[in-house]
Amino acid sequence: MALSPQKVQDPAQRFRDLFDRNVAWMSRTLQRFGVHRRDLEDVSQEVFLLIHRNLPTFDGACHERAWMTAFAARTAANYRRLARHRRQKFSDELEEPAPLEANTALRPDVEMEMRQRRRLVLTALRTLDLKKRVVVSMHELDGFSASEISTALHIPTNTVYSRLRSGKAEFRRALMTLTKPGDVG
Amino acid sequence: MTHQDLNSNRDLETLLEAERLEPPMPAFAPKLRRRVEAAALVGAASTTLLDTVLETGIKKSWWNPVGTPPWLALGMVASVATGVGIGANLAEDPPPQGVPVENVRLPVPSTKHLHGFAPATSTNLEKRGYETRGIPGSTDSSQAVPFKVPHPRAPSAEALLQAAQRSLDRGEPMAARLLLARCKILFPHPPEGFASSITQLDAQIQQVLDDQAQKAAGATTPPALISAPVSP
Repeated sequence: MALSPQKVQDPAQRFRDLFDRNVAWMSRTLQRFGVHRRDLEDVSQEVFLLIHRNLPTFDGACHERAWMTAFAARTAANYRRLARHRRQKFSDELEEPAPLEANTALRPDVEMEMRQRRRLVLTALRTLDLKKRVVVSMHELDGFSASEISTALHIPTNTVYSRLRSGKAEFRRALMTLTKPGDVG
Repeated sequence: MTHQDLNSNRDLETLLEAERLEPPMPAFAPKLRRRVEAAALVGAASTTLLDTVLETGIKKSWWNPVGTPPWLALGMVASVATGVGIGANLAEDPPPQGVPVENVRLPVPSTKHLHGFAPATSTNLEKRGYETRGIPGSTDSSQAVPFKVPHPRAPSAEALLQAAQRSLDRGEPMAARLLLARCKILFPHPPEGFASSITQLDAQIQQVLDDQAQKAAGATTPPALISAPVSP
C-alpha cells in the first residue's frame, strides 16, 4: 500500500479530500470495532473531529488509513466504555453488515452469499478483544504490514506480531464455531 | 461456507474477500462533513457542545441580538458558513413522500417557538406526506424517535429579510447580521432573485460594520502631537 503523498494545499480542502476518500471505509471500520450501526454516524463524527484537529501533524509516516485507524480504535474503546453502552446488551452476534455498493450488479443469490460471509466475519471478529481485533482487522482486511501497524498504533512490532498470531488463531476458532453444522452460516 | 471449508487458508481468504470490498458512501456523509467542519470552526470539543452553541446562539440572537456574546456569534457564523444549523436537515434534504423520517435530528422542544419548529405528531406529519410508522401517536410506536417538522407559523424568508433591513436602517448592523444568518439557515437554497437580495444586504451590513470599526479605530488613535515650537 503506497504512502499518502504530502501535498501542500489548503487545510480545509485537505480534510475534505481525506473525508471523501475515507468516510465509507471509516464507517465499516468502526462497525468492525464494535460500534453499533445506529451509532455509526455519531461515532464517525467524533473520530473525524479528532482527525480534523490532528491532520496538520500527520506527516505521512504511514498510510493515512492506518493513521486514522488509531483514532477509530481509541474512539471505539471509549464508546464501549461508556456506561450507557455497558448497560445495554450488545447484540453483536448476527448484526447486519452495512450493504454493499448498490451498483455492484451482483446476482441476488451471490449478494446474499456475500452478505452472509460478511456477517460471519464481523461476528467472529467481535469475539476478539479490541486490541487484537484492531490488529487483525488492519492486517487481514485492510492489508497493512506489521511495521505499518506498529507505526500507526505506536506499539512495538513484536507486540503487533504477538497480537496478530493469537488474534488470528482466535478468529479462526470463532469462525469454526460459527460454521459448525446446524449453526448460522 | 461450512465448518470443513475453513480448513484451508484459501477458503478463509474467500470468506474475507467480501469484507475487503470498498464499501459504499454512507447516506449521512455530506451532513457529517459539514458538522465536523462547523465543530472545528467554533473549536467545540465535541459535537454535543456544537449543538449547544448553535441552539443557544439562535435563541439568544432572537431575543437579544446586540448582546450576543462573541462565542455564540461565532457559532452562528460557523453554522452559516458550513450550512449546519437549526432546521438545516429538513431544509436541505426534504424527504420525498412516504419516506420515514426516523433519522431526522432537529432542535429541542423548548426552542420551538424561537426558530419555527414544532414537535411532530402523527397528524401534522401525515398532512405533510411523511410516513408516520414508529412515531408516537401512530399505529406502531415501538420505535418512537423524537423529532420535529417546520412549524406552519415559521417566519417567511421575506419577513426575515425585511426585519434585517429594518435593523440595519435603525443602525443595528449586528442585529441585522444575525437575522440574516437565521434566514440563511432556515432557507439555505433560496430562489435566484432572493439570493441576490441576501447577498446585497450582506454587503451593506459588512460595509456598515467596516465603517463602524474604522470610526472606532479613529477614535482610539492618539491625537497628533502638538507641533514643537520652531526654534528661532
